[in-house]
Parts: sequence; C-alpha cells; structure tokens
Amino acid sequence: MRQTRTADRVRVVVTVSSGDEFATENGAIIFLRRSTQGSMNVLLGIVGSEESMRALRATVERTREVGDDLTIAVVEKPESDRTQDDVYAQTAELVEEAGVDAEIRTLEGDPGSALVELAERGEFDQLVIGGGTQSPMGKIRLGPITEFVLLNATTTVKLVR
Amino acid sequence: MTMRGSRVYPDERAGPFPAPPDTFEDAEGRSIEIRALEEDDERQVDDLVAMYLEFDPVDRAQGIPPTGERRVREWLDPILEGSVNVVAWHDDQIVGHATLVPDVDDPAVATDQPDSIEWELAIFVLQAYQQAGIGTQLLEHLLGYASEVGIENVWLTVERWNGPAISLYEAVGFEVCSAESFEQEMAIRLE
Repeated sequence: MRQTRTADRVRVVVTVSSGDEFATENGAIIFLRRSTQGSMNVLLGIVGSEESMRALRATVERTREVGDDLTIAVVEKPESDRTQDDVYAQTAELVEEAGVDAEIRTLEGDPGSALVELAERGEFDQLVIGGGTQSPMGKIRLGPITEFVLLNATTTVKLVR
Repeated sequence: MTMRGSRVYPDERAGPFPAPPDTFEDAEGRSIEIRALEEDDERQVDDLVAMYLEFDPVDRAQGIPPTGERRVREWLDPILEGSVNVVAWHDDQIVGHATLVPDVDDPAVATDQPDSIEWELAIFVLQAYQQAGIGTQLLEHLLGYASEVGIENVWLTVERWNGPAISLYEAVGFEVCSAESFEQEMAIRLE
C-alpha cells in the first residue's frame, strides 16, 4: 500500500493479489491499472489463411486481457490468394476494433525463416502462429511453414489450432 | 503420373483386391470376419462406437480417433455419411475399421460419381488385435469393396516416422505423392 498526497487530494494505492492496482481517492475506489505480472513480449506471425486469422483473434484477445506487448508480422506467401497489403489492412482493422495497442509490420522473404529470424532478433518471449487444417477424415495436418517454425525457432512457440 | 485434384496418382492401376464378406484366421489363431458396415444399422454403428471407446489414446494419429463417446459420435456421424466402410469382427465385437471418406462438400456427388472424386483412407485396429495381419486384410478388402462401387482415386496421410504403416501401404500399391511436412501423403489408383 502506498499513499500520495497532493494539495487537494489523498490517494491510497492498493495492489490486490492478482496484481491489479486500485486506489481510493477522496473516498471513492477507482481502478488504477491492470497487473503486468505474467505479461510477455509476443510476436505473432500471420499469412492471411483462416488458421492465422484464428490465431490473430485469439492473440488479440489475450493481449487485451493480460496486457502483453504484441508485435504482428504479416509474412509473404506467394501462393496465397490474398495479398500482403490485404492481410495487413484487415489485421490493422481488427486490432483497432479490439482497442489493443500492437505494432504491425510486414516481412519479406521465406515466411518461416523470416519469422524465426525476427523472433531471434527482437526480445520476444513467445512466437505465436496459427496452423493445422483438417482432412475430410478429421485428421489434423500441419503445413511446411508451421513445421519449419516449430523445429527452428529458438523462442517458445505457441501453435493456435 | 496423373493429377487428380491436388494430388498425383500412379499411372498404373492396382488390383484386383478381395472384397468382403470374407473370413480368415489371424496370426493369433482367432477367426476374424470382414464385412461391409451397414451405416444405416444403428446397432452396427453402436458397435463401432464401442470399438473406438476401447481404443488406446496412445495410438491416436493426427488427432483421431477422438476420446469420449460424445466426441467419437461427433466425429463418426459426418464421416459415415457417404463413406465406404469395412469392419473386422471377432465374436460379437468390432475390432478393426477401415474407411474411405469422400473429399466433397456434397455427399450426393460421392454416391453418383465415385470415380470423379478423391477418397481419403484410414484404418484403425484395436490394440489387442494389432500385429496379427488384420490391418492388411482390412486394407485389401476395403480397396476391393471400393473398386466394386466404382472408386478409383484413394489417398491417405501418414506420419513420416510411421515406418510399419508406410510399408503396409506400399505393399498394396500406394505411392508417396507429397512429403513436405510432418505427414506424408500417399495415393493409389484402383482398377
């Protein structure tokens, strides 16, 4: 508990067990800030596929709840039916709607390798990717980019299925 | 090599394969009967569900079969519609299941023009009945049955490290058609 005093008010700040901070100010209880305990520096890689859009929504949701630092990298995938600009614009819109603060950037070159390299260069705790499609039978299949990232990343990788 | 859909199929057609019903003695001396599954018969579907409830989760591959009756039924219901199924019986119990699932959104296409589409194959044998030749029999009889109903293009995915399964598929005529990630795809063209 800490107490601050200005000319016209006395503020008492209390940190509760979750790490969230509340304050009483002139008799009223106000929410001060969300805990930053457990928050991470996260890099999310997306190509614009349905799986990566699912990963984007899940990650933005977590960022909002936990207060992670989020960087989103839109990678280049020539065989994709959507352009990188398209995916970038949709991502920016989704992030803004969610009211989350995230850096969005594009990456050139081989998608798997570019992501792994960026994750290594930056100070990221976790690299998040989406992956896993289902065959008619219901078998889960992971594509080559997913496999490359899982095997080659030096950070923790989170696969959103 | 022939492209059909996204996959490359062998030029040479494989077969002929035996068709169900058939009875044989497995390597443990058990009498095993191979029959086509009657998908409309609820009792047979219940027997199939019972087999999957007994299935050791350790032997799951690529997320299937799921565990728990609700999830097993949720998984089986759609794939039994329009698919081709062969089961192995021992006494009154289903101990193995081989299936071909059509790669289509509309099951009617699968019934009307089975030779125009691709069919995904999978085989499951209960742990206590593995290593006894039942998988091979199921596979061959499923392909024989498939041939009878006019199916030509069959493919499957198998984990790259699953050597015994890959050898089994190669022995009946499957060829590797892509191997760019954890699973490799194999395909066969039937007579």
